[in-house]
Amino acid sequence: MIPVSPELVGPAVYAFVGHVQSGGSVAPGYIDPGTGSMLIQAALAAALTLPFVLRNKARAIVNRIPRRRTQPLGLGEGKPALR
Amino acid sequence: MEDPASFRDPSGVVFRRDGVVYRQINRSFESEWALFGTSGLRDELTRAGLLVPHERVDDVEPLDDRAALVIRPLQLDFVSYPYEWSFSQLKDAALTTLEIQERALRSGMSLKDASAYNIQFVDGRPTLIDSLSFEASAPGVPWVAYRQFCQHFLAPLAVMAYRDVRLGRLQREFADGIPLDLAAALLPGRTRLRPGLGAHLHLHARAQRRPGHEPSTRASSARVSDTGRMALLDSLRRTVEGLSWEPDGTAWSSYTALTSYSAAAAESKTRIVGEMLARVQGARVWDIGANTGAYTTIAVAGGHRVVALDADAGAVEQLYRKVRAGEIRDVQPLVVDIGNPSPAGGWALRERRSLTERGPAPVVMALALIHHLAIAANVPLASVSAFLAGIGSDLVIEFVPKEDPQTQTLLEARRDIFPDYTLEGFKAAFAARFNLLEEAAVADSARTIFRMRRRDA
Repeated sequence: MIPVSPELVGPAVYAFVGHVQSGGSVAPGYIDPGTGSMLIQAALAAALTLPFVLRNKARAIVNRIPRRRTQPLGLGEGKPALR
Repeated sequence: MEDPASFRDPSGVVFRRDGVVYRQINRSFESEWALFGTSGLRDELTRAGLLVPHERVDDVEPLDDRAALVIRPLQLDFVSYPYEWSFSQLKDAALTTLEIQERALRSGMSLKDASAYNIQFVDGRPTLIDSLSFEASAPGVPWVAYRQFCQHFLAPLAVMAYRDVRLGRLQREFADGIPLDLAAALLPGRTRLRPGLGAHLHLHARAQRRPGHEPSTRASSARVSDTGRMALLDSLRRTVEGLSWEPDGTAWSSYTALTSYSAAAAESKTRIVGEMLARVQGARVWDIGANTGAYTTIAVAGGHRVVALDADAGAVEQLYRKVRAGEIRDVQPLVVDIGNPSPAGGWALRERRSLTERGPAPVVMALALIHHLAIAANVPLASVSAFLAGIGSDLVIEFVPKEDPQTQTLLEARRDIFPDYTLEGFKAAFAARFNLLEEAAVADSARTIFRMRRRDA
């Protein structure tokens, strides 16, 4: 066993070492994830990745567009002062 | 004493000592626990109200020699189970689980289980109670709890939304959530065409049916990128958010609006209940047959914390929506048919406690209930008295006589085989176990409300 701790090597390396030390088994944890479930999950995740990335990019682009400021048309607060 | 529901996860164990619940963290989980703290995830989830707060205690003897440390979580008044939740309670619990997993992944960790039993409603909000549910996220490895999430949340929500909300009770039958092949068979064929349900339920169910060859090898070949994990969670979230159910058509959800009370009777009943609750002993109330919570509100206004039970999923749904909107606090609405209350279940019948084992109340409110038990369900008055005495010491109960329009409706199509169902018969049955302390007639009606205290209390 390699003596590591999360504080020493960081979470990602720690997890990777743990995964290797467990013999690269299906997954850590204590519940049965189900063979079919693991396989379909991997397939779905791969299929969902591109639409997910594109949707996030589209959302980021939309968020960058400056929103047109609207002024209230009626009387009251917020109406630009007449000059 | 070890909690009988805490045995599956070798990371730790829940135990009770002097009435306080503790959680022992075992040495085998010590490094994961440390990572949970140093990653900042533990504080982040607690601050966001997604994880039940806890504190380390060094002055409490651990349960056994596996222990690394002991923590004391926030103590809960009442533990509920997913088969007692309304549609929106289960949906909110599902979304909370997904949010926790998303935050965990961003911190280099992952939920190692996604059991609906790990969620409890704290101040009306779904909250994770299992602080030991986290592990370091191994790169490329799929989410181990994906199947469990689909069985515990997605499958019941889908059959409740698309078939019948009462199918939520199936969760009581299956200890690890509704099997996906069963859910797929129950769902209408058109749900195969819905992207989320088609993938996470129908395809998923088919994938489970395929015979596996060298399962461990094949499963270990499944890889998921970091972005793929987030995409999967995003898809699950949108699928859950897309499921909805409205309580319009259920029997009792419109009861308050359709009640036969006159305004004078309703006002009188409200005043009597408020006055009697002011004189009971105990802050916790079980409102049995709470409907949409008209009298629950009175109990809360009087400073009580209420578990509001009703058999009608629509009524409970409406009450939960009020709780979620912040219109009413200190209420735990639950779908429970008191004529057939939640039994004990799980391994050795000790993993899930029955409704009565989760008592005592100690105050029980049973308004407009007795005629449903005694006449609609044929339960003898003496048996009702014994049951209520078993769950609470103080009782506020309404007697609804045969001449009341609601009782008349129950007797409309059947023979009256209830000669003892009279005010005198009611008093005699309850006097055997309770001292009758107060009695008040509801104005403009034939009903009477009693305040009683169990004889040995």
